[in-house]
Amino acid sequence: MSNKVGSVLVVGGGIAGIQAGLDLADSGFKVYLLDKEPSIGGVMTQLDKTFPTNDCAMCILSPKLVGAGRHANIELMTYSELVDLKGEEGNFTAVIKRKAKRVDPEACTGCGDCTKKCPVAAIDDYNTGLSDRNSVYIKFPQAVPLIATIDKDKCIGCGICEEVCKPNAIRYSEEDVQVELEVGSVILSPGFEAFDPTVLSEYGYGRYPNVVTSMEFERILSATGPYRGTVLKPSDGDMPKKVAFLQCIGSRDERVGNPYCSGVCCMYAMKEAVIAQEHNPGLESTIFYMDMRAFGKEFDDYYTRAEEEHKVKFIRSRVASTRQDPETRDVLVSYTDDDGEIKEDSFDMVVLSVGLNAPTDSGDLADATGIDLNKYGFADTTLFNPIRTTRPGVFVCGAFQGPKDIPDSVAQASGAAAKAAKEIAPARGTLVTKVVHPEERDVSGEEPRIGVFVCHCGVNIGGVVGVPSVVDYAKTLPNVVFADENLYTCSQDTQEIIKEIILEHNLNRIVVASCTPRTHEPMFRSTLKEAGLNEYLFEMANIRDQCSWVHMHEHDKATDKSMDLVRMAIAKARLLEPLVNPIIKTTPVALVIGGGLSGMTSALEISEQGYDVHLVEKESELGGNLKHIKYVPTDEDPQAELARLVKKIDADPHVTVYLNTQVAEVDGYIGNFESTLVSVEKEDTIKHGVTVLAVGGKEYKPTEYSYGSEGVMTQFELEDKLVNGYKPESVVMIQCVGSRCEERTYCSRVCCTGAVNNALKVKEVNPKADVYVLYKDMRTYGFKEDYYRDASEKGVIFIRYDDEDKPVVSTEGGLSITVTDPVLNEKVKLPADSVVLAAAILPQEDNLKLAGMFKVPLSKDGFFLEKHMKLSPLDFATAGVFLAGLAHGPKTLDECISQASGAAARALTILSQPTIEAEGAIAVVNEDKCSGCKMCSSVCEFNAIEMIEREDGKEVSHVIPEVCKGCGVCVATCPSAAINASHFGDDVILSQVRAALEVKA
Amino acid sequence: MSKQKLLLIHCDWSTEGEFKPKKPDVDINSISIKCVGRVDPVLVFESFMEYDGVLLIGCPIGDCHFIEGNIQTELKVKMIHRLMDLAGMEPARLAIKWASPANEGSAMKALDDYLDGFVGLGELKLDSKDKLNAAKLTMKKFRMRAFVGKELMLTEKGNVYGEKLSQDEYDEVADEALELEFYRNWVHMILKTESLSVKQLAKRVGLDTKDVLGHIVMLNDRGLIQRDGVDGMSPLYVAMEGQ
Repeated sequence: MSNKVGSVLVVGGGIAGIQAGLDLADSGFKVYLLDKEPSIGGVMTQLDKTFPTNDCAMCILSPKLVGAGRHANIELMTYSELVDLKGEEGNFTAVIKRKAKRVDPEACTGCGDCTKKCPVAAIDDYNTGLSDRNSVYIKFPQAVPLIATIDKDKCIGCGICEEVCKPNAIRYSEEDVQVELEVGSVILSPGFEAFDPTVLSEYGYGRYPNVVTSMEFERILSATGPYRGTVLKPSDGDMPKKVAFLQCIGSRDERVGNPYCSGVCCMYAMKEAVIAQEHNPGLESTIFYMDMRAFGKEFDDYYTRAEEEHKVKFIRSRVASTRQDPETRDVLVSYTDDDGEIKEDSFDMVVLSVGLNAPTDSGDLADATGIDLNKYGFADTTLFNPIRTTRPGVFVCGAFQGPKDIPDSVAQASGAAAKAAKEIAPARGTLVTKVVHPEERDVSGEEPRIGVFVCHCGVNIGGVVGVPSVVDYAKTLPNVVFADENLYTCSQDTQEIIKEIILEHNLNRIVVASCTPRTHEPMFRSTLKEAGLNEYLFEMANIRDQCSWVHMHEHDKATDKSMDLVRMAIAKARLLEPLVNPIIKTTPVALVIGGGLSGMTSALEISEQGYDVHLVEKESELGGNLKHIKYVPTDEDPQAELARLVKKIDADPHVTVYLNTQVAEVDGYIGNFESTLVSVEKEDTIKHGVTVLAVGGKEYKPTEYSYGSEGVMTQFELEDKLVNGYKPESVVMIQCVGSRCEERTYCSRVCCTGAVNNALKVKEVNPKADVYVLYKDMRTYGFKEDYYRDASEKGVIFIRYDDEDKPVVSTEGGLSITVTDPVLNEKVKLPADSVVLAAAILPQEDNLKLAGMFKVPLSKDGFFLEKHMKLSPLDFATAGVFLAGLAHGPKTLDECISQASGAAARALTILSQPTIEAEGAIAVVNEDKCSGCKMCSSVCEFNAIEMIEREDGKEVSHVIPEVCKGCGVCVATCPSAAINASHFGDDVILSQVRAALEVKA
Repeated sequence: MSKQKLLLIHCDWSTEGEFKPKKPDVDINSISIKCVGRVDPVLVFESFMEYDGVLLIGCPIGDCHFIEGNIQTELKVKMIHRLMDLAGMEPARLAIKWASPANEGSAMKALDDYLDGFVGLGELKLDSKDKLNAAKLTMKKFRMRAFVGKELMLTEKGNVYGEKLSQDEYDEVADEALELEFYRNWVHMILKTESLSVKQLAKRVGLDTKDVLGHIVMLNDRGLIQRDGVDGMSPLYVAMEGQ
């Protein structure tokens, strides 16, 4: 056996770190998830909504927080820092400083009593300083872990928290400690630090109360923020009528040392503008920008909606300064308009769209880990190795690798998980905990014997609801043989008590009246399993959210309603039956469709961890679009990289390559697919557990700008000519050819950087050449901005054009282009040897066919549509199918690699498990009643219903237990009452409905 | 002009309570209590509803029959003085002085000393009782009682970390909390009778609108007030029922 250590340290518990941790923990590795804050979640916990879906950030993040917090193989190390990393790849010793929380995490229940009584006010970082918190605090109500922390810098040591803490969790004497961890790999995901605009005094931040940062504005927008979701002016609490957003504050600005683009600000500003208008009807938003960089999937549609539907005003101008009306404290914004005139407009509020800096402590982290940073303080990586740091075994993901949005961070995080697992794959499963439960007691035929536990939640429930009277009431209800109250039903010691009581009273149904099942049901179900009861014999009543919180000042009504909810839960509990979770055996083989950069990367990531891969390519050789990329802006060689990958695949015994081959048929479900691969010569049927769709995209063949005439070519074609000795004198490049137009509203993302790359190449082969780039918005996001600046400095001329006044190519008497120069506001004619068109990236034509076979959706633009645009960029709603690369949408080489590695990591969470457990509460068909009408299968979102022929020849529907999620849509649709939902059957629901109306004795 | 009214509270041990003041123009009511340590700041503010001055007489430091009742009240007086200042009352209207039967005439002298200043202050005129009520509420609620109750421990005996806060350090955090709580209570008091905007409240309490908004945020957080419609672009706030 190897001496590799089967654990990974993830430094930074934001969304990227959480995703990496979950992927690794789900594939058989022990994970230490470290965060310098007292709780995990990072910046995303502070956001209101997220673009482009406008999902509530906390709502989509919270399940991930809970998932990471509860995972048997993830150990959270919050309020901790990595101080040293010794050893080498596969076998590191990480030295961790665990800062003293001065609260015992085992004892603390997160009730918040201490935070309410602490007399010392400290600034609330969570609300970006817009409200106060106390020196003993819980960052936000959904914090994971939900444990109070004493801020020793603010604490005066009065001792009150200890006096009010009922579980006796306060430990004043606790000191910082250093611990050493043996880990095989390390992932760095410390995120970013928002730029502090105080240094840019011309914008008045810190002096004018109505000038706020975009992070502060997120809190202002948030329903959990200081103003409860109504946008208010910090100066006087009035609702603003006009809000201005100033872009590129601390980005694309050499004065502050941040010449790069932060990549996310255009989108978040649009989102904030739109949401602000939703929260305050009638509010007018204006965005001052240089280039609107809406380059991500469906971002341009969002841009269009913001402008056309929401009437957000866009002004292309970099604001020079602001001043304050001393009387009203309105902010006057001065800018240069389209005609070059200096204007001044008054706004009630100004939001500074601050950029993303490297974390303030990135230098310390680099020292501790021995990695190199780039000149901007972010982790140094390369185009073809976007996840590797300069130290073997140490990987990076998320904004610390370079500014990026949430989906790109999540995809890259999964990629980092794949990389981190590769080296230590032989040690998979060596450090994980297997939970073993006692044998399940057979309760069939028993009368229900119900135990009811009512929680005080400190004073959270008990301070409002009369908990003892709820307990007394529960005791009067039929089948209740035990009822009691707990200070905290969720605490560790109470779980032990519940187990003892289950045995002592021979209980066979349990009801807990406390908080939300969303966060706590899985834990109580585990408690039942540990006591030998089937986990489905459990029901919760949420008397916190629904009683003590909403009826905070109506104690009697809150108590009354709690009794109603408990009665309903008991009514349901009486009818609960034990259920078995289906176990799915998995075939540890992957099918990767597409042999381009993404497909090859995914295939290798999977094979290198010891699993077989079938790699299918429809062309006669591997390489895809990478074959056309002859050089990149860095000194890396794409063709050498391509050759390296192909050679590696050829030599890999785990990878079977099928050239000139297409997938003809697919059958089965997660863990057990069977696909037919067809080429001219042969047909193969293969079994596989997962599928990665990496089918790529293709270049648009333009119909505009005289394409096809002598001297008019695409960027790929220019690239090919340049490497073959072409030395042009004058080149005019036209951007957005086939992109951002009526038929194709999306941005092809790579063309601006591609054009700059080729412009620089032209300047390299002929420094005297005239090079023009005609563009709509230059979208050289992230560090790619450096190339744009470099090109400008080398004399490449950038001229902006509008859709209403597009450039005109003339072939009469030599090639020339006429375009309106927006600075001079007059037409200029540019002669050119070459007109180069930035042709769009198109989805593959056979995407629709593949989508049908794998039962996955396509986006309106024809690319594959992932499960969730924000947090599941590599998954589909159909389990076991993943996507990467251009199949998902246009993207750059490094982004394809990150996604492809990520898709592999997602796939490995299934491949690495011999079996997977599915949901037990699912739909059940009564075949005798079934008429075979197929209405159930047509409404099933998960393709969990198939039609089968019974022995008697009758065609009936059959629920595939492994695939069914138990949502119940089929039950509510069936015209023959032939399907029922276990755990949520008609009888169960009706018993609750009736119990709700019962009058208390 | 009616006579100034003074409430004299003394402990049983410092004086028998036989006073013949030099200034007969002042109407003095006196009550005796077991220890001056019993004087609750809430009682003091309650007394200012009716009286123009409050004088506390206790045993000299070191001679308290209940060990440190006098010290505890001296600390409270210090805090009450700061609150009186915030509430627009001359702090000199409240004094704590020491007397002892062993030192003949000391109680009488304490009273005369007090009266010298008191007479010059005239009647206590409050533009509204809200401020006084806010001050009273501030000393009634947990936060400032916690501060005053813990002062000796924090500054002299050592806190839970075995460290001592300097008087300046303590005063800084306590004063900051006191001012915030006073204004929050005042705003809360006002909102019990009417719905007002941040701007209207700012005028009423004489603070910057920005600071009033901060108080509104915290009162909202504590579940004491709620939004109550909008006047033009200005949201209005009102106290929660029963709060």
